[in-house]
Amino acid sequence: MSKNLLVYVVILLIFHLIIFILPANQIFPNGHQVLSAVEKLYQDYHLLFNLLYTLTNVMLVIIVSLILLVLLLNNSSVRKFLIKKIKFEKFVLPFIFLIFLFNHWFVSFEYAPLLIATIFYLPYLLKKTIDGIELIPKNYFDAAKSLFIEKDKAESKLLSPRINSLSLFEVYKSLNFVWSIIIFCEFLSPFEKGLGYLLKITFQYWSIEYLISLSLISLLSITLLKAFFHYIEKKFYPWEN
Amino acid sequence: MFEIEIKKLSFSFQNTNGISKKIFKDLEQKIHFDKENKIISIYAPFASGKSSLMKIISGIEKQTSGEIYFNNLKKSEDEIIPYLSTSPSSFPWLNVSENISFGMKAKNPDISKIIDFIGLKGYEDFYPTEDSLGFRFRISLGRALAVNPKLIVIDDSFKFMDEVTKSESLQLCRKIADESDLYFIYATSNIFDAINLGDSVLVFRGLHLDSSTIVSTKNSLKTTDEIINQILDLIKK
Repeated sequence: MSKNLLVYVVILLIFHLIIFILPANQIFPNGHQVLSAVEKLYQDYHLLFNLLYTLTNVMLVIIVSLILLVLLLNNSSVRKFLIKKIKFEKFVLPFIFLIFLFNHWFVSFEYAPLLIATIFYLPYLLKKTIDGIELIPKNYFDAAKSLFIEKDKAESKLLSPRINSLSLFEVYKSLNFVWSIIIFCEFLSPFEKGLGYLLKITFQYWSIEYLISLSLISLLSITLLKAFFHYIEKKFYPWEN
Repeated sequence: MFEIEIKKLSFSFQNTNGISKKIFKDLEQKIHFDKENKIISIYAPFASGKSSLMKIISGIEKQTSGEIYFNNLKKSEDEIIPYLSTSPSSFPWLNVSENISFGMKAKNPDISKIIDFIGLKGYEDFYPTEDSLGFRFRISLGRALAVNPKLIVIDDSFKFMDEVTKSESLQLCRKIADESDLYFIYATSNIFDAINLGDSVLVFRGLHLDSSTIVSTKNSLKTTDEIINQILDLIKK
């Protein structure tokens, strides 16, 4: 958290240096221009609605992925299958190309960004959580198995709280990723909703002040979301991940 | 009184290259526990198969062939023999109370007694961290006690502890053995720890637990040095 925060602070300082302290520059807009871009986005392009739309999409993708992940990994047969048989790294394909393809298939479906983002995010989250499970020392399993007659039950009881905390920790770490997928899908979607749609307008008009204001809004939203997930994770799983 | 009888026990496993590796073959051994022998140490060289034997006794690993009898009976389905591993095995994502009640079928009202007994009163909500081996051993021991076993298997759990922590942990095991009907089997490659904790030491020679001799540590006529020399002589034979 602190490392990310430091990066954001540095970016903001550089940004301030360029647009506020160096008003003579001809490339970047000044502070006043950025603020009026935000105001215009709010009044003419329903910034609040679009921001909430993206935020809802992000949260829905995370919640659906988390529920599916917990259901899949808490089932011992599925978990063993996923750990031993599925090599997730083999599925690393140029996902941007695939998003284009999926978007083309689901072009008339309003919830396509939600669906596509879940299709890409769930395997990512599964891979990261499985990596975490594989780091659990073997002697924990030995100790747990010796206390149970049904050895599978011991494994599930041992892993269940760990899976929950690991997945939440991975969500916290991958918020930038899920946010980017959603924005990208909204950008391609013909339904004109979300920050992705506003980004598309920005590119259409090639307006740097709009681009900077949208980036700042995204940055702020991700930071707040990260703080929220960090709080939830520490509240319910107070041990170190 | 409690007896473990090992009959023609063999254990081998396949390594990652698919090559079968023999750990021990046709092992024959009787381990006899009574009021005078509540803790029996097993002393054997490194990589001789101690851990495999301990895991088979507690039911985590399955032997390739042979049988183990407990009081002349095969291990019953509902018999639990807790295994305390070499590295700390308290689960860092559960607090002390949750760790101790991990293997219990129902809520045990005696859990606070167990926590008190192992010296962790006031630490019920603490999470075990990597840096406290003594704390983590106590939790593992408490978790083992909570399932009401007859026998607890300790697989060189004091190996990585500093001397003070080790001494406290050994004393705790001794206290439990003295104040309860529990028996302990303790495997180690450390001759001093084997003598310190065990009422008797079962000394295995050779790399595959080939042959063994029981040495009592309660012989008041012998000093610790003499017992060590006796064990060393047995190993050299």
